[in-house]
Amino acid sequence: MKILKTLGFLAVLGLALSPPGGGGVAAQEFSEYTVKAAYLVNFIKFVTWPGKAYADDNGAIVIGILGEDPFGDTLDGMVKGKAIEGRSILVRRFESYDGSQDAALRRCHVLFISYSEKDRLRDILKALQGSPVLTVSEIERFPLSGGMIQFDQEGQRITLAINPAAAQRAGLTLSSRLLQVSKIHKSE
Amino acid sequence: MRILPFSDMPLKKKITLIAVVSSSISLLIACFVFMLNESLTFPKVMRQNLSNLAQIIGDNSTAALSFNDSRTAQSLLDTLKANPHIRSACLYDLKGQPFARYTRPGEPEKWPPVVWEETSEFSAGAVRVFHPVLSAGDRVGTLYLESDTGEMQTRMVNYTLVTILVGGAAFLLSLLVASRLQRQVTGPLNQVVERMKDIARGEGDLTKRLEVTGKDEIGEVAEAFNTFVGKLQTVEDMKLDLISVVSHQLKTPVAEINGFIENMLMGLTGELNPKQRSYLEEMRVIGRENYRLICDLLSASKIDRGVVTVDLKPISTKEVVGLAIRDYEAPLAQKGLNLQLEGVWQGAMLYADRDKLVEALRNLINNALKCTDKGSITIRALAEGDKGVIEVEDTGVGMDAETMERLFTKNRVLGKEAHRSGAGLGLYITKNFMKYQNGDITVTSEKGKGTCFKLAVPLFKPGAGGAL
Repeated sequence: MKILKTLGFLAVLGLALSPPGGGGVAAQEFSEYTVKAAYLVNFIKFVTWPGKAYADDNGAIVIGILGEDPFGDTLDGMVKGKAIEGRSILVRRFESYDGSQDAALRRCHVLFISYSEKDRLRDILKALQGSPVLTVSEIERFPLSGGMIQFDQEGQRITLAINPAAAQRAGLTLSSRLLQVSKIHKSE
Repeated sequence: MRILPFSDMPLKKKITLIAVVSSSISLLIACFVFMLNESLTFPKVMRQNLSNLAQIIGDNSTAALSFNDSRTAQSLLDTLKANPHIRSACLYDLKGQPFARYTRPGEPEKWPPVVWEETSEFSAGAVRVFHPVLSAGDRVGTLYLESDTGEMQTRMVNYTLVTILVGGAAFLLSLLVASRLQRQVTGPLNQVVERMKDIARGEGDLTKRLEVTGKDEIGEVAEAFNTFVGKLQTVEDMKLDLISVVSHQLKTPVAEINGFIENMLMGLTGELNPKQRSYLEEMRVIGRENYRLICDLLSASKIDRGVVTVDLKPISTKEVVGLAIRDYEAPLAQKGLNLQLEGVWQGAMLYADRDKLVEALRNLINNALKCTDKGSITIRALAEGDKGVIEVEDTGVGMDAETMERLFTKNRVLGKEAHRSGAGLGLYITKNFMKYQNGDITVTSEKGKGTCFKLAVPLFKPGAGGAL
């Protein structure tokens, strides 16, 4: 795991770690996955799901982690007690994909597909086809394979590569601001 | 241009001045209040505008802050170039460290430490705003914007120019409108004033009435003045009637008395002793003058009442002059004056009213006789174009130009040299008689050398409108 120290990261993490209006975050060292976990939560603010994606008006937002979990407690700590537009956030973890979790995976809003699932990626994306699930992964060429957001790296900075067409097919609306800060890929 | 004190200004200037001054004052007050309001509200407006801009930039930078994309944030701040009034801008992260920065070219690269609360201040020629950037309710950073007040200065200069332009235009317009509107007031008033002056000089025609143009005070003045003139006219008419009646009543008895005096002098009542003859001769002179006076009054009152009738007929100058001089040969001889007649016997035919022309000529001879102590009186007949002219020239006291000017008016106050007798009506009557006969009277005179009156009437042209 890489240690990232740029001030920009501190800001991003501060978003998730401190309440609004806070007087700044003490300088700490954050791991790469702390940053990525914060990004996962931040995505929620820049994506609009169709109404049918929620169980009811106050239904929670579900972040799923498929395969090996690189975040540990970090993600749980971030979403605990946090609500975005009145919805609480739940984290669900799934074992390595075996074809039996399809229904549960489709109920996720954000699904982080772990690197461990690299070989099963085609099947996973096929299973999620048509479901409003924002797929996020570190797997190379993820947007080109039909995934939506890939964590990439540029020097010490974690960047985003996005396939907006895939998101659109799934019924998700991505904020133009999110696209502004991402590298855009046109999928197959 | 000399500035008159307000009380001496003509009414039209007063009205214009009042209108222009009062409209200028209200305009000035309006402009002042407007400018004051602008200068008071402008800082607020500028702060508000800058806050709004910060809101927009902040909203657009949420993703850049959330996903640590300072390049996007930087390009966002660089768009502020489009606003030349923005001096500097800074996007701070949650730690209060600058995340992206912008300064206008030429400005020092300096940014204040972050202020966490939403603030906006207007001071020292600058507007500064700190704006918290929120993403779905979560604080993601802070935006600082600083703008110069050039916009306000430009706007104030523009407002001032517009105010001066509008003020100037309004001033000119109010001057124009006021100078036009004042005529509504001063026009009728001047008419009234002119008429009053005419009447006061004794020149006005009392039968004329002022046109009442409105029901305002001027209209009331005009109406009251008309009533006043009407009453004056009644009095004038009464006076003329009185003169007419009295002179008419006096004429016959005076003529009779004169007749009796003549009879007695002719010896019809027996031999007169020298004393009686002397008294009677004195009485004859007085009687004749009285008779003339009464005749003059009667003629003048006829002229004034407009009841003169004329009887135009062909008549020879010979006859006219003969009739006119008949009564004056004796007095002339008595004064030792020489009477010369020139061209009178050539037999030119005039077209005139015999009695009135004779009366006119008599008046002139009478005047010449009164004004001349030595020398001669010349009566000259001649033709000038289509006019027959009879001149009466004396070698008397003469007149100055001033006297000549008011010679033919009634009620004139004559100089010492002519006060010798009569009511001064002679020339007034002569002038009017000549007018009735389509003729005219003119005069030339030199003080101390003599006077020459000239009567002109149309010559008689047989077959061309002749009455015979």
